[in-house]
Amino acid sequence: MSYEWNFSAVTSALPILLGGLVVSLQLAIAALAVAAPLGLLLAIVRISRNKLLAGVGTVYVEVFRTAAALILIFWFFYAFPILIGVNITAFWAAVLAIGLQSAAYFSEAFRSGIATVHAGQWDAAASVGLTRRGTLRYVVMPQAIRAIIPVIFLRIVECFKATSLASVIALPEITYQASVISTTTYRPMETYTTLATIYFILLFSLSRIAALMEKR
Amino acid sequence: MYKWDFQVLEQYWRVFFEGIITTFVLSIEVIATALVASIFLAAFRISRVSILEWVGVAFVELFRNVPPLILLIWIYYCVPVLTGWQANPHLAAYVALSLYATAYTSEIIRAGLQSIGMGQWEAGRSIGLMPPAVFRYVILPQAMKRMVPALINQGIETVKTTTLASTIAFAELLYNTKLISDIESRPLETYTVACAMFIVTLSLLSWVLLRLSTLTLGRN
Repeated sequence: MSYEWNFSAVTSALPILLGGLVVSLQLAIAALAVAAPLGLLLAIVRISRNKLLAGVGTVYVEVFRTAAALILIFWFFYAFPILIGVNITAFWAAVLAIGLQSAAYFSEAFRSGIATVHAGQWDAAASVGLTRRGTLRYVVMPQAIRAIIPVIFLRIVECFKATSLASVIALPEITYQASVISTTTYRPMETYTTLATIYFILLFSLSRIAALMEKR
Repeated sequence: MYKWDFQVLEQYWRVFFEGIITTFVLSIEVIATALVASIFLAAFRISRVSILEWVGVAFVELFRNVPPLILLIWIYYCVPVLTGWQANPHLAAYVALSLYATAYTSEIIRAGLQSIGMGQWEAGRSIGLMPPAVFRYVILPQAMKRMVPALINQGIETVKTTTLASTIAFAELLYNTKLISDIESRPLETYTVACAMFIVTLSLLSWVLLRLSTLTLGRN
């Protein structure tokens, strides 16, 4: 344990690291903007009485739940552009990979929320003349979403963690910037410890919010 | 329109196969370690010995709130600087992913055990069972029903995180896929095959395991 810590190289590169953090946050927000609405749509589709639609929803969730995130990122970056014949940037490849996968998990969260609403509520709503769609919109969803707010926060944590994977396709988010700083300063110890600390502070705060919401 | 050509990949079947085996071996090692370590960690958390509880909480919060890739990078690149000892990619991946998986697995076990109400303990004691017997015959069978599906999902998640080891040049499935893709310049076919391998294997595995668990433990 004779290692001498020297953070000066990292502190002078801190603006680069924080610039990377901004990209990480943009990526997380864009991915969540894909994941949350799509997840909600998938959850609704999966409880629909149309067998075909419900089947499509189930297959989607199963596929994206079992595909490794890192492979999806490579796939959307290297393979997808060939398939559609349009080049896409590392940022959008990562948004698609992380967002579409996260949607599968969001849909499971919404579905569990809908399941917490007692079946009697559906009957009660039907008896006052609400349609199935109206019941979902005005009776079930408001209760379901309130029930799963802590779970949503945990999904946001997972989504933010996944953004670190975009470093493999050279997206200049915080992990990628850290690896650049580490190789140029020969200070992996200080750089990666700083990186881990930044992630920890952010993710721990989000987890705490989730835990507090659960208590309420 | 792009012309798919999977035939160029046929000569590489061995490379894919070895990748799958390596992914499988690393997954089993990590899952087994996480399960054993989690039992201890969960016991810490419900021990009511404050120092042990604190260790349990700190472990879970620390390793759950750092992305697994950062854990892996830290262990692979920083531990040598700190200790002068270089772990090989396999060992570094094994340690990092086990720490990460243990944080999640121990929470599943803790939550499963704590979800069984105190009334069950009291009921077991009141018919004359000793505490170990209450645990074995009353608490555990009920807790298992709730834990096993979550543990199966966690196992699937662990298999997926083993792909991170490709970033430190550990020759598992994704690393080998990258090699083939670079040689053949056929990323669409190679990555689609690798992705399909994951989806098919893990879907089947989770379906079979969930079926087995409901057959042996009954529905929750």
